[in-house]
This record gives sequence, structure tokens and C-alpha cells, in this order.
Amino acid sequence: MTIKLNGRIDSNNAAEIENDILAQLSGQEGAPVEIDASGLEYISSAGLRVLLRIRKNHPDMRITGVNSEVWEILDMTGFTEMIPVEKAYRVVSIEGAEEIGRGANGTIYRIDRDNVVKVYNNADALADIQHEREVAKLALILGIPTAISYDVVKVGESYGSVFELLNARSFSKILANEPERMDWCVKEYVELLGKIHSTVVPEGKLPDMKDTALAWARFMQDHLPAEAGNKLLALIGSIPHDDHMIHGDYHTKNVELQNDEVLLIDMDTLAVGHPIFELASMFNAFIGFSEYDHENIKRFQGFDFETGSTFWHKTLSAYLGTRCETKIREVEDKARIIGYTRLIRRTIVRGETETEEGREKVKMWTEELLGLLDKTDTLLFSRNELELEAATGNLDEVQLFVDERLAEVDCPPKAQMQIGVAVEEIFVNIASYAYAPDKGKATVRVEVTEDPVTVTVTFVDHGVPYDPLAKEDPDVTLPAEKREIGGLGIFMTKQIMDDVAYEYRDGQNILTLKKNL
Amino acid sequence: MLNINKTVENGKAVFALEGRLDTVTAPDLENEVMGSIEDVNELTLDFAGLDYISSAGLRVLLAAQKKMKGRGSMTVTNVNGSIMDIFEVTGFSEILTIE
Amino acid sequence: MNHTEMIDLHMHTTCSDGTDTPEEIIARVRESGIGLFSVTDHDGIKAASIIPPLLSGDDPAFITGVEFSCRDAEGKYHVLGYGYDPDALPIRQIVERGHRLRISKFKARLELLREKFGFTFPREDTEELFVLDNPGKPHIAALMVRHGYAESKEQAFNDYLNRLSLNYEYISPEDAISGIAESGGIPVLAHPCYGDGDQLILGEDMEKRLRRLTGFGLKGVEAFYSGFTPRLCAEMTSFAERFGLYVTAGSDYHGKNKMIAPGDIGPADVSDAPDGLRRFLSDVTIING
Repeated sequence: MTIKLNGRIDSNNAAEIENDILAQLSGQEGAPVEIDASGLEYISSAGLRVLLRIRKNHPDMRITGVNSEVWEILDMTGFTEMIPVEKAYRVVSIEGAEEIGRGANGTIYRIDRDNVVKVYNNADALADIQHEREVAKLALILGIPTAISYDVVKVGESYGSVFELLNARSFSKILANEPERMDWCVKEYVELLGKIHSTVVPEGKLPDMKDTALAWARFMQDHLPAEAGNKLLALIGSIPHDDHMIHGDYHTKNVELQNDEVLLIDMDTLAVGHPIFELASMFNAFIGFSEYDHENIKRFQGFDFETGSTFWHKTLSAYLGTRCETKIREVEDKARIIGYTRLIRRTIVRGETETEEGREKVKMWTEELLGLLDKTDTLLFSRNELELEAATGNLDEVQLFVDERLAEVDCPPKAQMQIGVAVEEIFVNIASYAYAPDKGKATVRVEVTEDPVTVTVTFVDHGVPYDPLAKEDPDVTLPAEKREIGGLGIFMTKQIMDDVAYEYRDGQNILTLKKNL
Repeated sequence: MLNINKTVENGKAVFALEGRLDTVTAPDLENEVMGSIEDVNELTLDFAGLDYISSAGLRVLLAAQKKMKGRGSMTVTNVNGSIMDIFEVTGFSEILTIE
Repeated sequence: MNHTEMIDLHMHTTCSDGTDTPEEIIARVRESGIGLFSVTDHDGIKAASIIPPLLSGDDPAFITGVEFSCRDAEGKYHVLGYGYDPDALPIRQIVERGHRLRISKFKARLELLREKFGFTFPREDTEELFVLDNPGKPHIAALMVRHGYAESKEQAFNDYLNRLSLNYEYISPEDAISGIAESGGIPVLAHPCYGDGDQLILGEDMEKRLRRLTGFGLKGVEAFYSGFTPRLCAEMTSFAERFGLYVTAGSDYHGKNKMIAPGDIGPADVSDAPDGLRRFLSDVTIING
């Protein structure tokens, strides 16, 4: 039963209006009532009391279409705590409006020069809107540049949030139309991402991405061979809880350039978690979703697959702070494990396996996933650690990796050269002897501590147990004819570095070199 | 990365090195030097552009030194401070003729 | 306070604008299961003398009551008085003054209607209203309809009565509070958040108001009221605590004139009676209780 209120209700007409309403409701004790206040300009306390009395007989009562003044009154007096009250929403049309972004929960359109509206997919979206508003506020407080919604509107049957977003272009637009700016885009994009990932979120404010990923992994147990399924679950399970923020859908349509400021939009996927989850969704955005059909990314982002791949690669390189291809590939593979898990599950859950294309995609991704699972022991990555095949051909990669880490702490050139010599000696040693004639992996880790500034380079391999320090130093006083090269490298290393230590533990050779800068 | 600039004239060979002399690049130098050594009685290795040397590089120097013995002279010139340290630590400063 | 006992300290009879006579209201109260009640007619204390002799042993307990409509430069107030001696002079003087002021207001209104719109009414009709305790706009509106000056009471109000501006004297809250107190009663502010019934007074405005009125001797606030939300009740209870005031509970029952049930003191739960209410009930004079 809907009762319409119009004009004003105050002590002059409250009694009359009350009688009128009672007449309309007579014989319907306890029936649900909607008070349509869209015509109501003002209500005084006399009017409030009328509403209270009606509610006594009709506890299932709600008030809709309330204007801001009436809302103020209802809110101030605590009415809104007792009775569901819905504000009247401005109606906005998106006909002919340009779609500028799309997130998990809704689509963003530009409605005029200054404003955009995010239209939510779910018609019952008021709770989502409120949530996103709070999340955006939280992000802003924590220092992430973003836009805050200033109004809630109705768009057809759905709700939307309106944001002020003047003069803004998404990074997707820039990449599509100004390819020469790609490197600048990478730099800004990675800088913002770094800011997001270094933001600590107070407990309980945002969902934990790990929980979501575990749910995906559990789903996949029914769709992968047992061993692979268990491994996937274990890999994700071993990712430690992380309080740092991740965006959850960090693609270039969600990063806007407004005047000179870089803004993050579409906050409904904000969560906390280890950055590998973020990299997984980024991989999907640039590569995963369009692996099967390269046209997909063109439709969605506006630029082609190749541009997207290049951008992704450069982003990953800048984010990890390395040009070492081995390192980049290593982290990308970890991201792909989580990325494919999500893609496969999504395809199945949406019923897309009813089509040939859906089935092929799942097949393709599953194969990739199985291969990746086979060769991965952990989804964690460290910017300070490199694992690669111990082969002299990889020496340059190792040196590049170490040099990059040293450059971060402004290592003086002489010390850098010396450390490089030691690194070469040890690595070539491992490459030549640890696994011969077979092949094997070596891990190089670079750590820097302050006070005093000390660089520690650690080599780990699981080849034949070998203590290079046990070798006798060569006699460096011998003349040329009598000199041998053997043992010189280790000797040099011992002289150059301030401390060299070896241990054999858990089947691994661990050699630690230290130099004070 | 190693660039080798070779000039040979009347039995005098000058190898101007630029870059790094390490496990990866040392074989290149070895090939170049050993390939030319037959006609040379004065071998100069100009290290002005060299930033780096490891034991692999030292190996090539030692081999060249031994080869030049009895054939002529070998000199290493324009050695920078860091590389000089390496020569000293390993005793190569005594073995090589450094200018 | 007895947890099972219902109380209603704000009710109206035919002595003002209620539809139950004082006799009828006793029955009404008893039927509703109310154990303690007060009749707070507008600007009149007749019920305070009529009711006590009518109460027998198992009738509910009773507190004498009144509701004065007051005004001063700062605002409008309804001041309740409880437990006064209806024979005491101070309160009778206030009642008398109120009556005189009302009659002159009533006459002024009739005069304005005549001046502005040319409406006149036969003498017998107006004179029978002069002897009422509280003749007011509703009575004039009814007259206007009867004599064809308006088609309905609503129209009478909207087009004529509400357009008259009167310079009118009121009883000040200070006087009402003193009158009550000097007659052995406890002055309490009725439905404080609603001012005179049509306003909204909250937060800082309420604070200012209470500071002034307590300065005049106000001793309590009606925190439990049929028209309050839990939030408003909580606000008034909290003010009562802060200012060390009594707390009362009332419905504003008017009989058939308003859809308020006896004993309806709002959605807030009074079973966990605040201290202010407990103290009130132990300090106020209760008859037959």
C-alpha cells in the first residue's frame, strides 16, 4: 500500500493528514506501507509524530523519495535508525555517453565535461555504492590519489555514483593514441602502483585477497589432476598474510591523468594482500584475457595486443627494478599461475564452457597452468633474489642483477667492480663444477644493511658439496712461468671481499660474501 | 662486452681494450692475441678503456706473457686504480710489465 | 520502580482538549494497565481536584498535573507541573492569568476577523465560547463554517485564521515554573525536542534552552514521549543526566482527538528506568499510591 505525501506537513494540517492516511489504510492493520515522499517539501515534528503513529500499526513501513531537507529532519531525529528511508535520487541518462572504464561492479561513463558516473550492474547496489564510497575515502586518507563520489543518482533501473573528473584521460587512451609516451606512462603507472603497495591498511577495513584466491584454488581442485590441484592450493596457502593495499584491477583504464595528476579510479576491488595477486590480475588484463583472442584487448582497452604486452613487460621490469630477463620471467610465471587459475574458474563458472571457444580457452590455460605448477616451488618473489640456471652464459644476467641492486644504494664504482669480480668467480665456479656434467640452478641474493653500510651477496646451489675456501691459496710470489691460474679466482675473492663464509646445509652449498662500503 | 682495437705495424701490436675482460669476453681476447702473436715482438695491451678484469682475464694475460717470453716484450698500459689493485693482490703487478 | 508498572504522566481530559472526562479517564487508565498516571490539561488544574476523591483502593495511583503553554523572547515551551497542591495560590494565579490572556487573544482574533474580512458572529455564539477554559482557533473555525464564511475548518484555518497576526501576551516559562514550584510541584519541560509541538530543538539549541530554564528552576524533562524516536529519548535522557534533572514519561493522550493510546510513552524502553525517573517517582507527591 503506497501513501503519497505532498507539500508540507506541520501542526496546521497534521491532524487532517493523519486522518486521511488512516482512512486510506483502514482495514489493513499490519500491512506493509510505503510512504512516497517525493512530493513532500517539508515535515515538522508534528508530521513526524503522525508517521510514528502510523508505524505503530504498520511496523513494515518505509519512506521513499525523500528530499534533502526532509532527510535532514528524519536523520537528526533518529527516524532513519527506526524506519528505512530512501532518498530521492536525481535521474541521470547515459544515452550517447562515452564509456570510459569498466570494473567488476559497474561501468563508468562520462556524462559531461566535468563529471563521470559509475553505473552499477546490480540494481540493488546502494550497499555497494556506500561501500565503494567508504573505500575511496579510506584510500584517500591513506594517501592514494583518487576521486570521491559526491552524489548518488538513478540511471534507468540502476543506481550510479557521480564523480567529478574534469579533463581526465585514461592511460589506455594515452597508450592508444600517443604511443611515444609509453615510457612516461610506465614510469607513472609503476610509481602509483608502488604507492598503493606500500600503503598499510588498518585491520578489517578491506577484504583479504588471499581468501579469494584460496577459494579459486579450492574450486580448481575439481578441475585439475589431484597432485596439481593440491600443489596449487599449497602454493597459495603459503603466501603470507599481507596488510598492504592492492587495487585488484589495476589496468590502464583505471588510471586517469587529470591535468598533471595521476588518479586511481574504480575502487570496488580494493583489498589487502601480497603483490603477487596484483601482478596476477595485471597479467590477465594485459595478456591473459586476450591470449586466445588478441582482438579482445583492443575492444576493451583501445590499444592492441602488442602494445599491451610491451607495456606489461616494461611495467613488470620497472616494478621489479630489474632488466634481468630471467628475473622478470620468473615473477611473471608466478603471476600467471594465479592469473590462469582465475581465468579458468571464471570461464567455467560463467557457463562459457558450453561453447567451443570456452572449452578451448580452458584447455589452453589448463595446459599452461600445469606446466607452470610443475616448475614452481613458491609464489613469493623477492626483488633481491635471482634464481637461474648455473651456466656461464648467464653470467651477464647475474652481473646485471647485482649491479642494479648496488646502484640502488649508490655503491662506489670501485667497490662495484670488486664485488663484480667476486660474483663472477663464484658464479662461474658453480656453473662449471656444481652439477657437471648435468645442469642445475643457482640462487644469487643481494642484501644491504645500514650502519655500517654492508653489501652481502649470497650464492646457493644444490650441487656436489664443495667448499671453495678449503682450497689452498696460490703462491702469488712465483714468477710467470711457475704461476698457475687455478685457485686465483677464489683467492681474489677472499682478498677483495671483507668476509667470505661457506656452509653446507640441507643439501645446499651456501657461500656468503660481505663487503663494507 | 669487450671491444678490441688491434693495430699491428712492423712487429709491434697494440690491443686497445674497451669494456670488461671476464669469463665471457676473455676467450675473444685470447683468440685475437694468440692469432696475431706469431709476427709480433712487441705486444702492448692498452687498458685505458677497460673497467673490469676477473681471473679469466688474468689467465689470458698470463698465457700471453708466457708466450711472449723469449719472443719479445709485453707491456700493459693505462691501468686504472681498481685493476691495479687486482694486479697487486694477485701478485700480477710483479709478473707483468706495467706502464 | 516496579518493572511491570506502566506509567503515563501526560494525558488530557475535557478540562482542556481531550475527549474523556476526568471520571472516564480513570477507567481508561485502569483498562490500559497503567499503574500511575497524571492528567496535564492545558493551562487548567480542575482535574487535579476532581480526580483524587474518585480514586479507590485498587485504582491506579495519581499525580496532580498541568501543561502550561509558555513563550518568551527566546522561544515557545510547554511546561508541565507535577505534584502541586491545587489549592495553593501561586499556581491558581498562573491559571487565572492564562485564562484571561486566552480570552483576550480569542477576542482579539474575532476582532481581526471582523476588521480584515468583515466576518461577524451573533453574540450568543461568541459569548458561550468566552466561558470555555480554552477557546481557540478550532472554535472560531467551526463558527466560520457554521455561518458560511468558510467551506471547511481547514479552509478557515488556511485562508483566514492562519493569516492573522496577533500581538499577544503569553505566560513566561519563568512565571510558570515559579508558580508550580511555589505550589509544591515539580516543573518539567514537555516533549523538549518538539518545543511547542511543531519545532525541532536539538543539540546546542537544546543545551542553551535547558541552561536558561534550569536557571528559572526547571527540575525535569519529559524524555519518554509517544512521539519520540529512540534517539530523541536518548538525547533527552543524556541531558537529564548532565544537568541532574528528573525524567518523566508521557503519551499526550487526548482521547478521540488524537491517535495516541494511553500508556504509549514511545518506542524507547523504560523498563530499565533511568535514575532521573526513579528519583522523580520518589520525590513527587503521589496520591493513592
